[in-house]
Amino acid sequence: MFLKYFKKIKLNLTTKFVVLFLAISLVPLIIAVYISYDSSRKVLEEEAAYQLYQISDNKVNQIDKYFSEAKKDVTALARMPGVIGSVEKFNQAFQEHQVNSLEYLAIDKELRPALLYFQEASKYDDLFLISSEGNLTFSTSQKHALGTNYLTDLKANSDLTPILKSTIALLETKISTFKLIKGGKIRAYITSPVSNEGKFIGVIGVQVNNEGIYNLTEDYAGLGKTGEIILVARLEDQIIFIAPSRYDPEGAFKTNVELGAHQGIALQKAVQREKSWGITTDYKGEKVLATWRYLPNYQWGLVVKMNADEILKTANELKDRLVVIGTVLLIMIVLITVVMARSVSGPIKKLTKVAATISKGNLLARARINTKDEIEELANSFNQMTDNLLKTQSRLEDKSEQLARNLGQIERQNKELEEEKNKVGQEKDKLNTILYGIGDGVFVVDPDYKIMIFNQEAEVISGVTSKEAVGKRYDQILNFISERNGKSNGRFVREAISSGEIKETSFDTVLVKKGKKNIPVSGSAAPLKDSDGNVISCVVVFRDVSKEREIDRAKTEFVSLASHQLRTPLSTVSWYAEMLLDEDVGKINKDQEKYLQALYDANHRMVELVNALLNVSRIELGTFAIDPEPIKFLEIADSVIKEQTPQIKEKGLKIEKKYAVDLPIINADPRLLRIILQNLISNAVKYTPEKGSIVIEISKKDLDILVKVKDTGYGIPKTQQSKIFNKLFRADNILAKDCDGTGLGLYIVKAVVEQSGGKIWFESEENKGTTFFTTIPLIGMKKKKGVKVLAS
Amino acid sequence: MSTQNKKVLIVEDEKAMRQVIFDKFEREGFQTFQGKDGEEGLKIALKEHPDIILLDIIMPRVDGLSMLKKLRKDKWGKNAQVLLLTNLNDAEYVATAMESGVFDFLVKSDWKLDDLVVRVKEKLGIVQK
Repeated sequence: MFLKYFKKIKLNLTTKFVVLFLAISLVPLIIAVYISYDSSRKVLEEEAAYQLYQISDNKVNQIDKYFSEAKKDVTALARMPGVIGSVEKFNQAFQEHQVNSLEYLAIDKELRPALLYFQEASKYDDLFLISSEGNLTFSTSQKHALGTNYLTDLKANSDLTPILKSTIALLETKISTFKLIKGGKIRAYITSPVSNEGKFIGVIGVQVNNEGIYNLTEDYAGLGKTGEIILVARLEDQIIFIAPSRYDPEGAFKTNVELGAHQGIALQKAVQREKSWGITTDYKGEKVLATWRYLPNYQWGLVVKMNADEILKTANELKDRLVVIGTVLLIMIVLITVVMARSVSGPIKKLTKVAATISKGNLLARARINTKDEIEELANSFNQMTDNLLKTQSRLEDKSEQLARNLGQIERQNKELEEEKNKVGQEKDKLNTILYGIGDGVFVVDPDYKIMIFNQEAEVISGVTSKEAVGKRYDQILNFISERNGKSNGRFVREAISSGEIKETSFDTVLVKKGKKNIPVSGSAAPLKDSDGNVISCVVVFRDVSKEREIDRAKTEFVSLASHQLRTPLSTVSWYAEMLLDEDVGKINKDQEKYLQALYDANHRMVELVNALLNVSRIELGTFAIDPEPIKFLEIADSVIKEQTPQIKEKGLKIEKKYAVDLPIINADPRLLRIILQNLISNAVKYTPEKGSIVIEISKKDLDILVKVKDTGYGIPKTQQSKIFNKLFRADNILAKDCDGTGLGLYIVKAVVEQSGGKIWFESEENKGTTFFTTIPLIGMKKKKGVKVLAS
Repeated sequence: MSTQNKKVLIVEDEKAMRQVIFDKFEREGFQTFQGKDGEEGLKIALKEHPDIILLDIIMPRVDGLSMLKKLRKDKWGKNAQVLLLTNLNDAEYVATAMESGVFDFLVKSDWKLDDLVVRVKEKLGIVQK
């Protein structure tokens, strides 16, 4: 509780130490001092009480002794012959004469001086003689009472009568009780029998007062400076001093204390017959150690007392000394504590000061403490810490300098960036202006296909506003589908992002426009990459190609129609040439046959070209059909090779067939398969120089039938490989070699393969050869409804 | 069996084409007729009842398929043998032709003239397949 509070209050360390040490040292000190003071006080008190008791006992003895001496004196007096004679003479005079008689007076005159002498010598108040019958026969001071019979006249003197009777009866010296009498005096009687020759003749009596004991109470030996011996007697409710007190020599019978008063407690207790001791308040109201007792013989109270202060002087001196020592100790403790606290708190303060200095930034400050203790260790640790701090700071400073430099750099860069940004902003504005003003629909998507930019033309074409489009996936906004089969054609954007290459829409793409006619579109998706080659966005450009598509269609239809129209005359030419060559119309000579054959061959190539053109137009119009049926792949391949036999033989080519034995029968359109194989094999034959070799490998690979046509031909120049499937494309090296070809074959093959669900690719090296790979899925070609079939 | 008493009708709008087929079949000994379009072809067919009609599809005025439909309405024409000569592998046409009872067709440019003759002879049972 205290500690809790102590912890809460804010004091400096020294004060705390002082308070704590004082608390720790003072409490026992005070307790010790108190105990020692108290015990010494008790001892002193007890000792004093004992002493007072002794004095008191002594006084009682002295009183007793005094009175027994007085008895002895009276006894001795009774035996004196003068007294005996006096008694006899007064008895006789009394009996024979009256007290006023001359005889009596004569005797009185004769005897009185001697008796008076006795009286004065012993300071009796009275000396009297009583006859054996009880009559007062002589008195030194009570002449008026002469003749009074104290045995019979009980009222005459109630104190005297009892002892007189005892003395007469027992023939012993007796002393009466003391009695206060008028004038504040105490009076007692002593009577002793007087005998003459063994015959009791009368009594001698004396009246004593208390003056004889004054000396006793005035003897203050052993009572120090304040001790008093007080003898009191009780008169009804009054307690009356019967001897003078130390402070009031005339005080006997003058000083009173009333019973029940708050002062003079010991006196009250004494007269109430108690015997004890204690610290009480005396008749003067002072604090005293007193013993009190009752003296029954005299019906007195005896109090022996000393001022408590005097008794406890030693104790008080001890107390004072203890206070002095305590104070000295206190000061010493405080000083030691302060010194100790300083020795602890000093270094701590020093340390604190140094810490404050350090905290203000002066890291060079060090705590110099040589206390060879934990504080020194603390200081050392602190210094070590500061060293580390200094090091850290210097490192930090280095770092911060670096940072500042970096910051400067960053600021410069920021400025540059800001400028760049402004430039970029301007550029962007320009770009935006261009972008929005551009005649093509342009939108930009992020790698999650979400539209970021959507220009005006895109809005016009699609009928979707930029607001609606931005932030949404492009394929939720723009539905690109195939015009021919209605399937989605929007994958070119995804492909561009995933492949990182520019992808174009397929030729039959239309954009679905709600509530309106679908719009034929052509577009491309160009991925934008960051410096690491990651695609960060993709720019899609598309435009309404309704007119182009229309024109193209018209063109294709024209080609179709033209080709169709061309075929009839070509067939006519072919057939007439055939008739002539067959010599249906008469013999022909060698030259005629040669020319007719050339005519026939050229015409045949023309037929092929027209067929190819027709196929292209059908592919582009999307009107050709795929009609799969179970076929034997190898048979078709063989038949195609067989068709090529004349050319193969002519060039002396070596044909190697590597057919897998486990080829299943698959569903495929034989006409299309034939187109594929025909083109690939005839190309190999066509573009392989004499004595070359061709390997035709057909195998099952994964889920496909893989056709591999490998030749040792002229190859395709690297730079032109990307265009090889383009319509009407022919490679430069082939054009130089004077080979026939339409430039349509691979275009048709690629279209057919891809429409059939297969793939086509190649590997080629110029002057080494080319290998074409084609796959046809084992599940077969996909059936496709169409109005036209392709010409083979 | 001889070709002498066999009648062949050629319906073809291209004169040169019609002529070369006509010449070839004449030389093969067939009794050969020719019509320059569907209308003329139908008239001759119904008059001469040829053993086989070589029918071009695309012709001015009445095309091959229209003529074929009319022919099939005739009592004789219903079962007349027709070989469709086409330039195109037009599935559409072929399908329609099949409905009209034509079971064979021939793409002119793919075939040699001799092959055409062989095919006709097979159809007429002159040579075995």
